[in-house]
Amino acid sequence: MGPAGMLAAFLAAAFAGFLGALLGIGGGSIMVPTFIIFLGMDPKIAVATSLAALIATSAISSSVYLKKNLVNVNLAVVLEGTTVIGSIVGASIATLIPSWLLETIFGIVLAYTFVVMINRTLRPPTRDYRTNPHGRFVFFDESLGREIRYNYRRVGPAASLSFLAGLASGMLGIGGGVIKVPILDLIAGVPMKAAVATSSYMIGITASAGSTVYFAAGLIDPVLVALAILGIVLGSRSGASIMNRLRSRTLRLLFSILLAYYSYKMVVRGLTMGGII
Amino acid sequence: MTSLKDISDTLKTGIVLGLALIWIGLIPGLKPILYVGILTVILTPPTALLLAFHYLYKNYENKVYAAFALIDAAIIYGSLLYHMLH
Repeated sequence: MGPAGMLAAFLAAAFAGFLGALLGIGGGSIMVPTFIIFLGMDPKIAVATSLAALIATSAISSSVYLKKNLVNVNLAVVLEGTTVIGSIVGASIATLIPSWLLETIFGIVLAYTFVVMINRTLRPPTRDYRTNPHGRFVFFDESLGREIRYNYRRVGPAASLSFLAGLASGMLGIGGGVIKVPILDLIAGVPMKAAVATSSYMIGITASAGSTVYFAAGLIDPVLVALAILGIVLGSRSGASIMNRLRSRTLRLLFSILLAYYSYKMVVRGLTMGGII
Repeated sequence: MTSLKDISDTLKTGIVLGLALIWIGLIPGLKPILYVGILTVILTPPTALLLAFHYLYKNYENKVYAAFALIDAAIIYGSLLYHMLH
């Protein structure tokens, strides 16, 4: 890769991190299609690079969450039991299937992400915390100015579905937060703030599991990964700082349209390459 | 005793160390360091899981949580070893 290609990869990762922070999702859903559509990168290398870069972003954000006691480590390690297996299986599948199929599947999952994004933007959660005064787990909610106590539940179904989150993450190079957060919140009954923090912590472990497969398969380009890590970290930091000032629903909707475009483009490209359309 | 702050510090230190090694490894002729850097980044979360194991073992009566942390880490290290050997 020449200097121009390296600069383009860095900028693409920064763009993904910036946009991901604005949309409140991990950068993987944006980084992978940007790498494929605009840089012409092989889908498998794009997925491997994104997954390795996500380890860094997850570690940085969850290190803050851990200090604030927002991460439910107990639940995270239990759910990761199935998630890491899903991630390894997903990554192994990705190394075996043709690139066009991988691209098509990515486009379909991106469509789901788009629906979740639009839903979250148009109908922001208004539900109160399901607090329990005798709950075992506790964190301090800065916006409410009080401690929140809670217990989690239905670990079995949550763990089963977490396998799917791991599968998507390992196969597509995404964090899988759009699957993990609803599992933690809606199924396990974890308050939203703790669910986001726990998901962030879990993403790094899941991505690490999938990355072992790509690393051994020789699909991880160290220079590209270094640039992607730096780009996504810088981009997400600037995106987060702007997001705090903007909080614009219209802006989020506009950027969500980009997700829809990527989804469409990936499906069409994939099916065309596969000779289906 | 291991705390959540220790797990947090391990995650941050691992990534910073990994990135530093990657950048040193970019110097021509130092490619092995590049790969050590990438491996450091990849193996930071399972290494932090070992601390999580200690934290959960010491702080919770139910040792199942601690066992899960150990199992998760073992799966990731095992996967790397398995895929490298095959």
